[in-house]
Amino acid sequence: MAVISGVVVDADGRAVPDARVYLAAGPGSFPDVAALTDTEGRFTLSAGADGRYTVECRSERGGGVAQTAGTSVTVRGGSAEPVEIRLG
Amino acid sequence: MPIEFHTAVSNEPEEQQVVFTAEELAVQAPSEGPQGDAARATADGLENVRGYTRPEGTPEQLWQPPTAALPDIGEASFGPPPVAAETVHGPDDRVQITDTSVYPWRVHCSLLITAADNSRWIGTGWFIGPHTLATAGHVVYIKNSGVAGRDGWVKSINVMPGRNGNTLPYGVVTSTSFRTVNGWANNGDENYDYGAIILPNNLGNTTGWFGFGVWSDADLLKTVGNISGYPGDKPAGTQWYDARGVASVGPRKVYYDIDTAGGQSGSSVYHFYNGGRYGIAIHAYGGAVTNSGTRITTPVYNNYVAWKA
Repeated sequence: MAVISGVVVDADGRAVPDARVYLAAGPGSFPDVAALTDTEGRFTLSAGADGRYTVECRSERGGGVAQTAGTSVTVRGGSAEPVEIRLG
Repeated sequence: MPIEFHTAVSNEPEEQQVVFTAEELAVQAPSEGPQGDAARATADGLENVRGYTRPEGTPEQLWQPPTAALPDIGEASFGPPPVAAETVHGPDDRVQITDTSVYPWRVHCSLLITAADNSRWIGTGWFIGPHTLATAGHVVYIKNSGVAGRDGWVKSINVMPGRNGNTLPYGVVTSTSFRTVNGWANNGDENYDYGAIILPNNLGNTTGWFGFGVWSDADLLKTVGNISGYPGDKPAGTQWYDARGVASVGPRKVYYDIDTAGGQSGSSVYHFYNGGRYGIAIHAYGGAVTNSGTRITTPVYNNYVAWKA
């Protein structure tokens, strides 16, 4: 099982904890859960088949203003490069 | 000896198996709970939600012939084909539920899951009895994560019935008692991806619960599937609803074009029967053209009857 890992940061590059991160698109089917980022903004999601995945994230941290962002990541040979998702 | 995929497993070794005979099988009845009036459904099997309209083009096709878009038989063994998948298909038809302390909305629970490696996740569950919630197997038991220390029973789940953002009309109940089956826990087969959360109290007597039952392919193919849950792409802890006709069915799966997003794993896929709400599947996966859930077949039904006892 491949792992898609990364970190969620704000516009200033600071870690965003408790952001909800989930797969929004990809090859095959995937569990419809969302991870919460840890205190350092990190997350790890499990991916099945090789291919291109869309990872999205949402956070209302800091006054409840919603921020969303996403990125694409390619899983090849069961592995993927870590991603950084920048909010704001 | 063949593997019994539906054999129940628990993180509590003393759990006793309850065996039901075929003659006892029927449907498990819902309960609307004692508080207030329940929201009523529309005549065409949808919840009557302000602002929700059925997607154009689909109402006339609520019934589809059994040959429509049936998954290839190979999917049972090898999974769906690797084509682009997404969980919201076309226009996003979901509407927010704000009166979450009213039945049926209070039956749906926002879940905060702490896994074995202390990673945290969100999901959805739904009451099927006074102290039992149905949910996906991967909500209570993480399998094949690829992350060291993560696989296995989750440590705990905070259950928040009828949550609406920061409002928790029924508080938070923490559970450490979970159920799933061999086919998921030991084989990681998504055809067996279902489980249960056992609460330490009988909060379901207050919220009410959904019934559940086993329906034929023909019945499922002409029904409307309703899903309400807690997606991660919407404001935190808010409940969202969508409904569409069931697209296709497999021996152990139900496929539908009902919009969902990460965090809705474990939601009830339910329909109306004799005026009550009955689960037909447990939502678990985003998919290529349709999303999918674990179908409530007779063995699934038997386990849920045992787990709600």
